[in-house]
Amino acid sequence: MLVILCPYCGVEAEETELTAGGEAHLERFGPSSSDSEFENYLFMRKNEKGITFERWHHTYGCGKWFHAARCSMTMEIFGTYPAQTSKPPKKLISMIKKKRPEWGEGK
Amino acid sequence: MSDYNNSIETFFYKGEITVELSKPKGMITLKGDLERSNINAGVIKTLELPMPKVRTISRKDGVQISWMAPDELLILVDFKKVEKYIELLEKNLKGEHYLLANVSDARAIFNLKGKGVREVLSKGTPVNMETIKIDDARRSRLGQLPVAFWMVKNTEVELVCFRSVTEFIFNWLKVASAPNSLPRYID
Repeated sequence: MLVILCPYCGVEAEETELTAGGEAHLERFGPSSSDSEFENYLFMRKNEKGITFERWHHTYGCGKWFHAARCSMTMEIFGTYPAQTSKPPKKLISMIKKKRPEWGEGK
Repeated sequence: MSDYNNSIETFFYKGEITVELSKPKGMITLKGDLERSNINAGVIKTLELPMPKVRTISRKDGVQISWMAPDELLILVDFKKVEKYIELLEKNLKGEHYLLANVSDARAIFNLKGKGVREVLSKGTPVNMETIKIDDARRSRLGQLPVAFWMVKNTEVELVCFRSVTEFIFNWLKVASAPNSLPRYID
């Protein structure tokens, strides 16, 4: 059972109050993109073992989308942040690097 | 709006706590950027109440503002005065980007009274009821249905649900507050 802090309403929300929204920070490829770009955008997900950035929806709460950094192996939540961004905040990244020096920012 | 005077069903149960459907209340949903000073001031001016802090309510003389989301408030007023308040809010929020909706007919309010209210709700909501203090509000779920509730007194909770599921919520509360069914863990 995950307990994730909603950055909007400050609730330590338990997993059943939330809905998982998949990989975060996807770059959208629209009508003018090539077929492979569009396919990539629609279907291809990283599914990383280790640190992942994902979207969560506080469904049974304030109804806002937010992002969370989580380790898919240990289920550790490193932090959450509002969704109005295309990159994880620098503070969070340096915090994760300190905890997991071997992590290469998903590359 | 509906005339509830004759048609309203009575929902009343007394077990470990008293469960009762409240008399119809005027409910207004306000959506908008609450950080904008003009919206903030307009609401305060109309309702003569301070803006509630995150996850709390502010109330006085039958008027209440409940925090629902960073951009949403639920305003409770007298059932007969809803239209008047909406007009007033529209006047005081003029020029701002917002949405007002009269949801009096869309929601139902239950009044839960008794020493075991926290434990009864704990049976169906993931909220840690031990941490909920007077005037704290939470939007969460009860069983599988979305509800919102706030602590009026230490032994009294008001719970809002969609009106279409009133009966289900009532029956749920009835089962959850059956005599001798509380673990007596909280207080």
